[in-house]
Amino acid sequence: MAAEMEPLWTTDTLEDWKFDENKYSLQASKCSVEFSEADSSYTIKSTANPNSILDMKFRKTAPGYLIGKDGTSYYGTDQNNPWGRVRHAFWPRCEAEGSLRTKNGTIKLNGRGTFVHALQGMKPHHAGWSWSYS
Amino acid sequence: MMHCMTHSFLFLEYTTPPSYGSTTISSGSLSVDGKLIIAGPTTAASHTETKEDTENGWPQPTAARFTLKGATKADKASSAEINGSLGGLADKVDVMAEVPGFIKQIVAGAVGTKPYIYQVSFPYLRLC
Repeated sequence: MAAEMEPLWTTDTLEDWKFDENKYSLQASKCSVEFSEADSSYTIKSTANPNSILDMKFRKTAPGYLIGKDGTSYYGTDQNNPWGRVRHAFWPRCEAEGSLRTKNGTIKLNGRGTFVHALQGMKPHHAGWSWSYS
Repeated sequence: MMHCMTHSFLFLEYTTPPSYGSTTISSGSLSVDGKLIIAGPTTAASHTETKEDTENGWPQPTAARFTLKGATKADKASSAEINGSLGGLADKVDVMAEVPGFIKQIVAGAVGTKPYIYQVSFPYLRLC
């Protein structure tokens, strides 16, 4: 068990980002989120913040799922012309492995994890006002 | 999300702002390796105990109940529930920390946008 550390939260703007055609994978100048169908995995690497250098992989062990017909919430009064939408797809149970390098040392990230693929196609404060996430 | 050796419990809920009808959308799942036991829309989470955060005015949840109600693939009605104290706070994140204070105040007043994350973790909770 690691010694107690200060909580760490980092959030950084990504530059030169682009999605693949299905929007499953992302490439940016200092960050990549890459889906592998063959391996049922997501590999995430980031050097966007020198205090949270990430290299990790989630491999799906339980089936993934969407809610409803396409996992998408449509916002507005006309379903055919929504003002905005958010889409979630879940891998509730994964094997996780990798590491996070911080200025206080490297943390191993091996164990069980959850991966959520979310596409937020609208301004965040219009999509949601509060969340309960467990 | 809560994991133990054999099971994983995931719950996601969000409530839309008043401009979109203050609608609550809740979903979750109970899974094991190779199988979803329950997965789908479910009833709203309940913050069974809160205490006022004097810094930002939000009611910080200190105990909560998350219920999954669904049917298994064999069409048997099923439910799973996590209910109890959330333990201590692991972290409280001011999502707009980089925004100057006076702008945050204006946005909070005008649109009610005042995002914080209460991060909890359960190192000693037994799920299985």
